[in-house]
Amino acid sequence: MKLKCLFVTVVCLTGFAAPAFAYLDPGAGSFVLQMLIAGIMGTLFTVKMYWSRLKTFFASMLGKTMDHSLENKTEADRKDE
Amino acid sequence: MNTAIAGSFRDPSGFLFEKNGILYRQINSCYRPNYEVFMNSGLYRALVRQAWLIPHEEIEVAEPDNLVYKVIQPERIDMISYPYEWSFSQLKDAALLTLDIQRMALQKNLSLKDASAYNVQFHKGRPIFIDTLSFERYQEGEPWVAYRQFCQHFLAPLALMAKTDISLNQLLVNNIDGIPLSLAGRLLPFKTRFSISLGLHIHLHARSQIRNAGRSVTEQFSKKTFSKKAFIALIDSLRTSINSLKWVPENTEWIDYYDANNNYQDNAMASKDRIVDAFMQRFAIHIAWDLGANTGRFSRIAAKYCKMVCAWDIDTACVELNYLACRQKGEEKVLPLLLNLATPSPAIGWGNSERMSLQDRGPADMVLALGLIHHLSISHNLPLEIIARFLAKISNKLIIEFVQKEDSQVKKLLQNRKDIFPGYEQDNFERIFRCHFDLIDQQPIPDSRRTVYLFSTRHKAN
Repeated sequence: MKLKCLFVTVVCLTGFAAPAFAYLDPGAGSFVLQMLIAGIMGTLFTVKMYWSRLKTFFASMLGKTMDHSLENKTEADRKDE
Repeated sequence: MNTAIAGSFRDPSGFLFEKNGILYRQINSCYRPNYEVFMNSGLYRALVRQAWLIPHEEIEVAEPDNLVYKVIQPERIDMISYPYEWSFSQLKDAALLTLDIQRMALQKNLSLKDASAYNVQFHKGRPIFIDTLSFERYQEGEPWVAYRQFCQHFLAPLALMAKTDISLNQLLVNNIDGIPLSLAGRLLPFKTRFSISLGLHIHLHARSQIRNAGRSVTEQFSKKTFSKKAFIALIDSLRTSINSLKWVPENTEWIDYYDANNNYQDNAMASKDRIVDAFMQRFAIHIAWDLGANTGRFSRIAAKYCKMVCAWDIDTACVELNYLACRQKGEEKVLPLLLNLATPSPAIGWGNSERMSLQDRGPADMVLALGLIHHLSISHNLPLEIIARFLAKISNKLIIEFVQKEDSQVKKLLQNRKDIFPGYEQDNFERIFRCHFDLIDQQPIPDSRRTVYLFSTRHKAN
């Protein structure tokens, strides 16, 4: 009984000493892959962010032109009236 | 000292035990910090509100000691079922629930320390997480410790079911820790190596396991950390992978059974419905098992008179369609499950006791065996005596249909083989079954060669 309590306590305490050592073996290969995925995700995120900025830049350029033409059209329309 | 019941002795955080017929969960002192954070963070309340986690009540500890922190009484699940008994969509819904819970936990700075499919059960028609001790404080920078387990318990079997063969969920019977990713990788079609989700989470994952076998995890930790954004991206990537897996039930032997076979005139089927209805309403039934339930026609009649019905069937397509119908209509009382009655779910795991056999989960208050006995007796060469003995072990009451040899279905079963079943006769059936059961009633189905019997199992207290 005492031995069992001691065993459980030791297991529990060692389990808490380093959170990475969960009661389940996460597997070194699974950890490495997750790091790799994090890298891929990070790269994709960066690419996506720059792509989004690039799109916004061109959209704003195009938008200004479109707005300008709209303003002109409105003025032209007014003149017609 | 409370004794852990089978299946809950692996995690040192606590265990399940039973006392006076009530199920409790002991929480060991070492889990105290995590339990307090879990309860105080609002995550428990949020999960219970969503019906994602089984609710519990805290109980006064009778004999407190250094080991025991708390005892809780979780709401009881009526019928424990296992991933190898679930259809494709049931396993998929259980996988998505696990990921949704993990995502919600991360928002509260907690994380699942395991992602076992056995932590999910079906309760009131929906998957629900049952392991209250699976939550631990999230440590910034740590990858998901349960990533491998999630892939082995959910992604690999679902991918194999969707891409290779629907029956490959049965590999879980021989692999209690989930399907090894190297095995899954070898069984999946070659083209899946080029799929982003399966290529990454199964094939590359398997290679990484082989390549890094024996290496230290802390060694990996010291080099890099895993940001919370990356963690969430991983969960989302797994969710996308699971969601992209589809399986559509196609024509199988049983799916159009009622439409295809000509044993039942419309009025005969209606009479059978009425007989089953009348037999069911005679008793207060808690749980019924409908063996050979097909898509659940009679399970739904039985469900009117009991708390829940397990609709067991051998055909994965029938179980899938039945589950989809239950989910769509929000039916809480019918639980479709997969079962080959000729080889029922065995007891598996350490000491053959971690996961219960079919028989261990009985006896059911009522067993329905409609349109079944001729398949057991003739297709599987099972003598009537051993069928009766087995049914008596798993039931307190029994509704069983006897199908005569003149019935077209029995003729079909005998068309290509010698009739070695001289004992398969109605009077012999009655004689044998009366050795194990008391006959309460019997009703012939008009315009058919079939009779429905209502029995009470003799050796059990009613």
